[in-house]
Amino acid sequence: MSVDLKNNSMFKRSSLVLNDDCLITLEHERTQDRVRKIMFNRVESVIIWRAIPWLPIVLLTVLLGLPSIGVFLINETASTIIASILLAFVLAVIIAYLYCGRTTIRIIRGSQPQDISGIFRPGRLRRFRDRLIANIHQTQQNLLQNSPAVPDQPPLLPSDMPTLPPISGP
Amino acid sequence: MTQAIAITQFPCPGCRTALELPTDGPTTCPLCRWHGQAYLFSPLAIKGDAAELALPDDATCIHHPRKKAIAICAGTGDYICSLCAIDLNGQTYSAEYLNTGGKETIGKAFDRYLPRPDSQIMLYIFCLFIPYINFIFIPFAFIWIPHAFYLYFKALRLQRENDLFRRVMGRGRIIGIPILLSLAAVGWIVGVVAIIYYAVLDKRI
Repeated sequence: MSVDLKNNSMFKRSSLVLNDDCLITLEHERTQDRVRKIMFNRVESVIIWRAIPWLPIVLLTVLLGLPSIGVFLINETASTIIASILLAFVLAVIIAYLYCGRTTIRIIRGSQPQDISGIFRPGRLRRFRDRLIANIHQTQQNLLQNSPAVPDQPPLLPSDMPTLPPISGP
Repeated sequence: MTQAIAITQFPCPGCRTALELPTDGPTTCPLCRWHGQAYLFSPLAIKGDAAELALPDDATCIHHPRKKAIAICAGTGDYICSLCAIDLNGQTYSAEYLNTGGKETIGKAFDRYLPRPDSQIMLYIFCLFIPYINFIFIPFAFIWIPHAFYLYFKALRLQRENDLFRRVMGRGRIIGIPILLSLAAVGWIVGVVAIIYYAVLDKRI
């Protein structure tokens, strides 16, 4: 079994590993991964939304798309071939960005939101979401069933305080 | 009795308004038109232990003067009650200390790292393909190729011992890394032999 979801963004690569009772996020570094664990026992809500990643699209267009159009306008066979290859690459990447979108998964646990965002493939994301929701439900149901059925002790009131013996002395 | 709290609303990520959710799934905020999916759960209520009230002779908590002190904060040296006490790495700190000055020092206690020898090997291999860097890198292959093989065996051992590492290091890397390293080693040996051979041959000529 491998990781469940991978974000191969240029500067912040990360992976998500789904366990029965927790979600493990791995932030990849050069020689080690930073591990964070989100336990399912106190998860209140999971919110997922998608947006178009405008920044990488604009950067790609400006840095690679526009220069390749410039090269394309030079009337030479070699430059036309190179520009066509570059343009095809730029278009393919932009289409991939538009198709996948930038997804944010917000897990609210104990009133604290924890965001996981990245560019994920929709099919993989759907499968991951279904497993995540099912595992959270399952964990919370298991905890509820295993919790003690004895009523908790009522809080201690000042009237329950032990009375001190009167101070007797000379 | 311990019971679950049914969550019925969530904060809209766009405008932070509390949104009611009749059924799990796609939803839209009527105010900011944010659109997404939301799923609500029923977490268990947290059971808080009531701190014991202090008797006249008892030491009292510095933050809760009516509660009995049960520990001394390792950060500030103050008496603290069970409400304030937090155990961390075998020491007891007060919540107040962790919230203020101790946050940065203690914060790293929660960091966990997974060593990735396979990523280091991939970095070595990646350097072979970067122009100019590979020019400096290739002559020292007799150092880094054995080191990469050592890291590979370390990764194999980690894979047997660590369940998380087993899931992270894919089958492609297990098979691909020794092949790439062997190719690099053979290529380097052939190159060195060729250079020596032609250097000697040139001298003869």
